[in-house]
Amino acid sequence: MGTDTETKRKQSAVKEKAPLRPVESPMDICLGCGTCSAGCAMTGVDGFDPRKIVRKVLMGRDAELVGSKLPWICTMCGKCEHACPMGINIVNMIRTLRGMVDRDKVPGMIQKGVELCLETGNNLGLPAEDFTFIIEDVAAEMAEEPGFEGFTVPIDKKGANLLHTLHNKLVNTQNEDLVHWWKIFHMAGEDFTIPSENWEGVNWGLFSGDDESMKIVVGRIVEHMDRLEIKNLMYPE
Amino acid sequence: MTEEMTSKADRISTPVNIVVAGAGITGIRTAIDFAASGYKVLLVDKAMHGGGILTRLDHQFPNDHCGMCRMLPMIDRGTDKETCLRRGLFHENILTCYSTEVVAVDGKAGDLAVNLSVVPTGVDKTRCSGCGECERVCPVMVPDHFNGDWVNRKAIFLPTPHLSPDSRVIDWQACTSCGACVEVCPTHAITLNGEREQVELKGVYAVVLARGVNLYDPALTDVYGYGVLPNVVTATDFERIMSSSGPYQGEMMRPSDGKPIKKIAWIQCVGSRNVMIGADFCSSVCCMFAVKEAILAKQKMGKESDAVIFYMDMRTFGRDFQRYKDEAENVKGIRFVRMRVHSIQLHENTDDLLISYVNKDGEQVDEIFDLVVLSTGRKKDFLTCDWAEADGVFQVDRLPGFKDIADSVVGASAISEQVLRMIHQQNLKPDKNESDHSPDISFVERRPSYITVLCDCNTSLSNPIDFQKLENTIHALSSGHQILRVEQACSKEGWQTIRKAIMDGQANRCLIMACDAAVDFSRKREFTNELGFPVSFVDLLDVVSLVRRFQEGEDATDTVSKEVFMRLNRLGTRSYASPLKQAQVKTVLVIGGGPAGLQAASVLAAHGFTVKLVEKTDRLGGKLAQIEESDLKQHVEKMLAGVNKNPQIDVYLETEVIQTSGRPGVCMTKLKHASGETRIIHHGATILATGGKEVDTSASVVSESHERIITGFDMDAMLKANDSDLVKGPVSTVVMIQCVGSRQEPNNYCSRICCLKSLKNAIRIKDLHPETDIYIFYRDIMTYGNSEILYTEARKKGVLFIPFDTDNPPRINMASGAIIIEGDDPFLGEPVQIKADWLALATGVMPNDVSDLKQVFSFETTQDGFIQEADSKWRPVDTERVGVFVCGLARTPARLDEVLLEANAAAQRVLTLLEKDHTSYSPVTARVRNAICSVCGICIEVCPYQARYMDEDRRVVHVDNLACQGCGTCAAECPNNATVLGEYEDHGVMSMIESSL
Repeated sequence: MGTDTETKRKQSAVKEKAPLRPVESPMDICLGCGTCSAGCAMTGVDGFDPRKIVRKVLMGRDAELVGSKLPWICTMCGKCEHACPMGINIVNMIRTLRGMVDRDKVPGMIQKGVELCLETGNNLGLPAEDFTFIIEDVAAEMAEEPGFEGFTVPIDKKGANLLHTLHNKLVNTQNEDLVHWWKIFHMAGEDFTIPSENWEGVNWGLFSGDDESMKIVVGRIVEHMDRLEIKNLMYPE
Repeated sequence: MTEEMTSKADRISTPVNIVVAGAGITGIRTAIDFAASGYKVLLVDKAMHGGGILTRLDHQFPNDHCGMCRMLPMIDRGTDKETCLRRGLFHENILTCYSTEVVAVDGKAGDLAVNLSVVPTGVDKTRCSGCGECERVCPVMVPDHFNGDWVNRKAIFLPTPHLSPDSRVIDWQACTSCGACVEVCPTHAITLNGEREQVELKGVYAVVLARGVNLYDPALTDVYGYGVLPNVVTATDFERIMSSSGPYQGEMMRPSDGKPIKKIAWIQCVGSRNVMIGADFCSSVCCMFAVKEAILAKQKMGKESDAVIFYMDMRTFGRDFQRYKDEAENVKGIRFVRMRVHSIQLHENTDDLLISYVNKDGEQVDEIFDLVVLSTGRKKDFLTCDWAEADGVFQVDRLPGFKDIADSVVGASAISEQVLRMIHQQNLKPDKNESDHSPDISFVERRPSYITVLCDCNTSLSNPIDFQKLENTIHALSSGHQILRVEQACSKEGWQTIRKAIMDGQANRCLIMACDAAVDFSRKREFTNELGFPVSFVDLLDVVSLVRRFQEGEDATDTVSKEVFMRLNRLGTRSYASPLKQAQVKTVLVIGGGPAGLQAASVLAAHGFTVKLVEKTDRLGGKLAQIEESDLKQHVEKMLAGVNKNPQIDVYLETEVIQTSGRPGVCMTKLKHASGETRIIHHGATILATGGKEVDTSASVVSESHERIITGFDMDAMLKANDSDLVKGPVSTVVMIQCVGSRQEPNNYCSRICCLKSLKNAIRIKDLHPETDIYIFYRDIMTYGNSEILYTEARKKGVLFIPFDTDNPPRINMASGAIIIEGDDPFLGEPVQIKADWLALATGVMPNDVSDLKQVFSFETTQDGFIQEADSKWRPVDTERVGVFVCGLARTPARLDEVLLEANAAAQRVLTLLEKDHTSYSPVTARVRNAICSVCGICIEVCPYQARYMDEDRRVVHVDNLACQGCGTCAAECPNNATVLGEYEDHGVMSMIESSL
């Protein structure tokens, strides 16, 4: 560190890409006050410090950040920017940095989930028939309980009131959470439905900084709603 | 309409020349300015008391004491009560009226109709004896907001703790109208009617709007838990915790559990410097406020205590502030942590407070505090009113910020000057007192003939005092004594009885034994004026306070008799000398022809004064060429042209002042032209506007010169020249270094203008060449007040700021012919190295050399050579020498707009002195008995007002009666009692003491 080329500022790509919060707040406006660092739960973990990241962005050191582990330490909780007196959109900045990382360098689990989702319609890569089997099985079990006799889950019901996406975790391991939702729907007399394909209710492109994949995943849900003529969406992440 | 309200409306409808709306420090200052010039002033405030925010503070930076009383007039001292201003403002030309609002202003400047809405206090001041029974019996308890809601108060109460006791008011929102106070009041002073009353004033010359600022409500900032965590308080709340008149009587205990406070954190910039809440401004005073509180708190907390200030930039931009902060840090052990606190949390299951922050080494640190003080600044929005823009309304601040006392006082007097200018130009006169009340000499010179008035306060005093016995003792003193018994000296009837008895009985010494309310200040004046008494021939014995010391059933007669004896003896020894009246020379000497001098000269000429403007160099204008702001530059250019044409202003170029003599109002001064020719001018007052200059301290950071290493001033000049390399470009990289040679010894003060200059330069370069990289190394960016927007703008434009400490300044390396700046980026903990095309060093300003003038006028200078004002807070443009004033860079580093304001304020001070054709002085002044004076000169040395001087030819010591404030230091120091103090001469005081034994 210390040669003049390294200190030399460049027009920051991160700055240009990060969308704005309600006030006009590119990173440039940073006071260096340290509010973000003081409030961050991850400050000090493997050299993470939000102020340092903002500072490096200010200096145009995008490449250094993109090549490091730092962007992946952030939990994206937003505590930093909640108190930032300059309204700097730190979480978005981090996300934009993640988006600048080559996809094969994105931490494995997240990237794999994104890829499987694009490919199969859910982060687990669960085939459609397996999905339908699980749903019907869980619903049948619920129907054995008193008060829920005859309960079935409407799949791809045209003209339903509510479209319900699912977190893959609920389908995979935590089936009982599905039951909680359905019981509420049942008691409330809600006219809901679940898509048979592309039912994934999380969008890991948010975390990997992958705008394209995010768009595709969101687009699928919009498509469901058009096709099934449904006006309301419940997206329980 | 109740009696009380009649009396209040009556009081207001006496002639009023000027209405001042807002009785904070600026309102009080303007009111005193007008009053001193003889105008009748009505000072109103929406609040139940005057004094604004300052009533909550006991100490002010950087001297840690109060001193508000120093604003009171120093000449014509008899016109005010000369009492602590926190007790109340008592001046014969000022009527104060609280819980009162101006609701409409109509008409033209010079002839306004002003509508007021008045909420009665419920307590008739002219009757209240201040006994406090009402408060004692009041059954209502409400939180005392004045003391941070930590304690309760009654519905009838003293709005601030220092107010004189007859200032109790009823809080109508809390009052249940139970009537307990009405019943118990011995003087029938209370009326339970809180209905607003409208009063219309006509023929008012002007209205001054001194609205002040409201403080930010920190409950709006969720992360600090104000209002939720009981031990998170605001800086003004904390003043109350420390105050001996506060909720804990000055014990350092915290609100939640009374635990002794040992560790406190201050969090700066709460509600300020935060674009997320629309507060892109600095509140200017909170940094110094916090330093002061930390110093006082540390003293109170004692050993093993800790005071930490979390800050972003310590804005020590006043002349003496940096040294104050350095002392706090290095001597008093206050810790300064550069970090804006994210949030405050409760520590485990205690009331202690946890703050996490990142230290200098980048490590996360947790600290536990007993108390956290939020340095709340001003509210974003200003108080406003419908009539602010009406004709004849003068606003103290068109763009108000939060100002310290000195800046408020300067701004206030500058407005007073503008108001008086309008009044003078319209040829309006003050509403004079009916006549000039000089006492009737034949009457006062007669042998003393006494009358003693005994008020039994509706028989309530008859228990502790045996009045018959008291009368007998007085008669025994001498049979000629007249005695008058009244039931209520304070009532109208009682008052008329007293007056009649004195007139009929031909007494010329009068002792009234009653309470403070019976003879309030204005009544005493009215009384002595009407009867032709000198004020000193009337004495008031506050018998109510005296008797209060006795238990129920005890006999106070002997004590009271003794006191009456003392007073009567004292009255007998009083003598009277008619005050000397002195004609004043309505010419003002202004020294220095820069912007400050030009402004003062132009303004004074507009008031009809003749001005002698003396300039050392061969031209006027000073640093005109360097003025950046085009509007201010035009203003100075216009003044320059005006001064040269104005027949009332005589300009003396290449001229210096070499000698002066005389007294305020009448001075004679010798000027010397460069050719050697001398001349003598006569004038009544002097304004020192000797200015300052940039100080080139580049040598402190660079060993050799380089054509591309320049000062901030040079860079500014280059950017103004269209053909300069900087304007033409291309410019790759520019570096600026702040505080070069400033804010460290020997020039340990902030020059105020360098940060602004660098920011403006940087913004201009970015506008010309957006691709240029600009780096600014700084210690603390001093963009106080609204100038914070410049700092924000520079950052938005991509200027990179790198802070440094004095122990690790950036280093400049020119070895290779290139300019390489090496430093450290504390945020990253990494070294930085920048190759610069241009390096601008932000050098500061220093005052011009005034050592010759110092000899001539014998004023004081600071260690940096600035002219020392009489009091940096309350009398910022006065010098200790009465009649000699100072403004501009000669006194303190300042921006041009501030310099011009100071010049107006200095002109106002001259007006106060010279507006009247004659001046008279207070009877309480020192006098020298030449026959026994040994001319040792001790008195001259010790006089704190420089009121004494030696007449070398006649070998006598003179006292300047206008400058003398009657403090008595000289009389105490004089080895042969050759100095006596008027009204406190030895034989009178001794006889008083004897009679008490």
